[in-house]
Amino acid sequence: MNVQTQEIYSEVYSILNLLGESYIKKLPVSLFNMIKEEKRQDYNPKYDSEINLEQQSIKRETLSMIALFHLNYWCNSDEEKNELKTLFKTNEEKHQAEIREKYNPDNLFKKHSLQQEESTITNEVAMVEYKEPLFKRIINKIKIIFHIN
Amino acid sequence: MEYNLSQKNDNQKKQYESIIEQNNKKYFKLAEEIKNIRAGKEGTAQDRQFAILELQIQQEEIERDTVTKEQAIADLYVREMEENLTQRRINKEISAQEFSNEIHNIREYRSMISINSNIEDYDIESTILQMKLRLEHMKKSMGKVPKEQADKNIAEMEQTLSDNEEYRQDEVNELAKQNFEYKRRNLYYQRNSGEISTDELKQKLEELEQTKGKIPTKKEFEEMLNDLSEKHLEQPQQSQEYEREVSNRDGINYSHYWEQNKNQDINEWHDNCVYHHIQDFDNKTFEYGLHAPSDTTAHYVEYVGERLGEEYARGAKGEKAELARQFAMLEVQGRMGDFLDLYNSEETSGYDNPKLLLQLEKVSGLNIEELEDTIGLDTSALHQDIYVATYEIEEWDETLQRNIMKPIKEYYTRNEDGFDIIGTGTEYETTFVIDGMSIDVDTEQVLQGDSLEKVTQREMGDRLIKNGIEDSLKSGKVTEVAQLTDMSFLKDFREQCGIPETWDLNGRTFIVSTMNEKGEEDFDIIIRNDGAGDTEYEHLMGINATDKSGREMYTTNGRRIPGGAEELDKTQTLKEFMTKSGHRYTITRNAEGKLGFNEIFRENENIIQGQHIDAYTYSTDDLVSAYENAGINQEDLNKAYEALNRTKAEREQTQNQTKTNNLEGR
Repeated sequence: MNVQTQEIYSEVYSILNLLGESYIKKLPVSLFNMIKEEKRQDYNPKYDSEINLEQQSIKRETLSMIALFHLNYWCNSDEEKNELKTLFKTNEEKHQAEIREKYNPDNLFKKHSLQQEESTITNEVAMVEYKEPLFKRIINKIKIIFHIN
Repeated sequence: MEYNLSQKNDNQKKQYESIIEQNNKKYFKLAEEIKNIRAGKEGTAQDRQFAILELQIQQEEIERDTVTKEQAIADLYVREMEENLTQRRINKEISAQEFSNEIHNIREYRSMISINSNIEDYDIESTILQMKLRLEHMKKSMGKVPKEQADKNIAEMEQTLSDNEEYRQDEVNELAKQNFEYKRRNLYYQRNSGEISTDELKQKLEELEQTKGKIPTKKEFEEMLNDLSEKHLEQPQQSQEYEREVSNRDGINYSHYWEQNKNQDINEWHDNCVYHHIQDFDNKTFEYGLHAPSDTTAHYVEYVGERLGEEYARGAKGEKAELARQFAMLEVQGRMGDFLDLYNSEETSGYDNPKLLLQLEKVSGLNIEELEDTIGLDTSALHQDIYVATYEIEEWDETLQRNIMKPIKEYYTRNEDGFDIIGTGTEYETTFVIDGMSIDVDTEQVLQGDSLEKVTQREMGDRLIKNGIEDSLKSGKVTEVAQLTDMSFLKDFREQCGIPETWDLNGRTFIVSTMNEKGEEDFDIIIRNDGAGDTEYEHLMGINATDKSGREMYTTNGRRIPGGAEELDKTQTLKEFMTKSGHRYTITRNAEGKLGFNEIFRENENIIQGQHIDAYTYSTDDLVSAYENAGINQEDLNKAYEALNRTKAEREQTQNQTKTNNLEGR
């Protein structure tokens, strides 16, 4: 097993201990034991229960694993489970939209044109400058609708 | 859990309980007096503060006496345990080895609770001394005592405080040492009696070494007591059959309405306050106000805002902490300061019609097309990080012909010196001051950039309550707190707990879950004490935990099934309680995972049935917000699932390889 995976298990183990018995009890014993045994024994991070998890030095993969446990073992009702599923699905859609936006050849071309034309002071520049705020406004509106940070 | 005592010990216990009851009555009476002084206008603020301090000192003295009486009751039970154990040895019911271990346990437990009680006494004494110091300083400044005498008294008290600190530390060190020895001795006993193997002993001793220097937690003391009580005290026969009429209920789902209010759109007008009133805010700001400069409203508000900001920022770091501090300043300004009401252009005081701050958000700039299109206007001020404060204010609406809550927005930039306001807006129109010009735009034209960080009033109120509970109970981090809201129920509940009529439970009674540094979860029913100088929470008197938990029960959830019958949830009791009157209650988790409080009305060998009591849960920093903020998506979950499966496969392969190697005799 590679070191990164072992470190993920170390972080997951620390978070489980932070969350406490009521969460650990709901995990299959074999799963919890696997995490405990496969973690990196010399890496035992301590987390601050006062600070949001995503603001502490936690790998994304760690938080993802905790999210997986939450969905499978810690939801108290179907309603809660469905809400979580919707959240992950929404985040997936935002993620895909960002990828499309980032790698859309049309956008790459637009950005390149804008950067070139900014350096020339002509009527064409004036037209591009007019477009730029409109462009940003549309993107901002999309981001506001989908609550993208 | 109640245990039987011999006649002699039981009589002694009743005497102590009677003294404690009288102490409680005196305490409540003093609390009423403090409340009246706070609400009154007689004398100067300093005179009122002086009078309050004197009464608070009396309260602490009463508290100190109550603690010694409680310790005396605990000692009676320990004495009973020792007597019962000795009798069992005389009757040859236990071996010499077991007797030796248990008598050590009882005596060491007695020693530890006695030391713990000393530590509590030092803490109360320090609190009293600090109050007396403040009083002495006030007497000196008010000329009530000659300066030389006051200085002498102050020096003496400060010396006593310093000495107490030293003695307290000695007691803490001794308690830690005894705690370690108690556990160590019991581990050896377990090995000697065959409960654990030598290897297990070695491992547990290594784990115990890690805890050296730590005093027992409240939970550990409870566990020691439960363990000893079960072995050495007689339990009263408790009937399994239990049937009671449920207490009164309002039948109003307050928590549902409060939750609905919270979800109203703060950017548009709405009927009810989104702002959730927290009594802790009033108590804290009143306390700060007593020390604030009173020359101008602005200075007063600034002082109170700064002090409140430190409270809001507790535990937060970086940007969040800065936002929390600024939130406090703006909130206090809106509730206690003077400002221009944008809807009627009148100067208003926050005391008359408060501007209630709901949210402070840091965004990556603003985009206002009209301003961007204005040739020659320098809009660079809008393209940096902007702090958006959203308020609500009660206004009369001519069209609707009633009062409604209308939104107000304020826009700030930040520099080394602090926050500068660059815009203010109503629901319809916003005015920006940029590039030296004041410009009005339609509010709907103002587009915000990405949200970078945010604090809400709910979050800050939640933080205030949790700080108060953690500071008071000292039993670990508060993971969840829910307020009991049903007023009719709380009246009955008060009687069941034997609390005097003058002590209204409404708005002050909560159920709480805490977690200590070991990750041990605990639950309690607590009350907020508004009579003390600082907001203080304590266990609700007149109701105690039983030793039962983890039992299956059915309870209502406030919803009805078609046909009108109440919907029932099947759940498990997290902790169970009994009032002085014998009424039984449980704390559970409801279907949404929130703490629930239930009254048992039927219990027999087949079923436990309860009726829930409406409770409003204050939000917690939970896992879901972490997933949201980090943008955890389906792909992340898939990768996590694959990682776990890979690890499982690797382990299986290793195990199979080991089996094969063993079979082949390698």
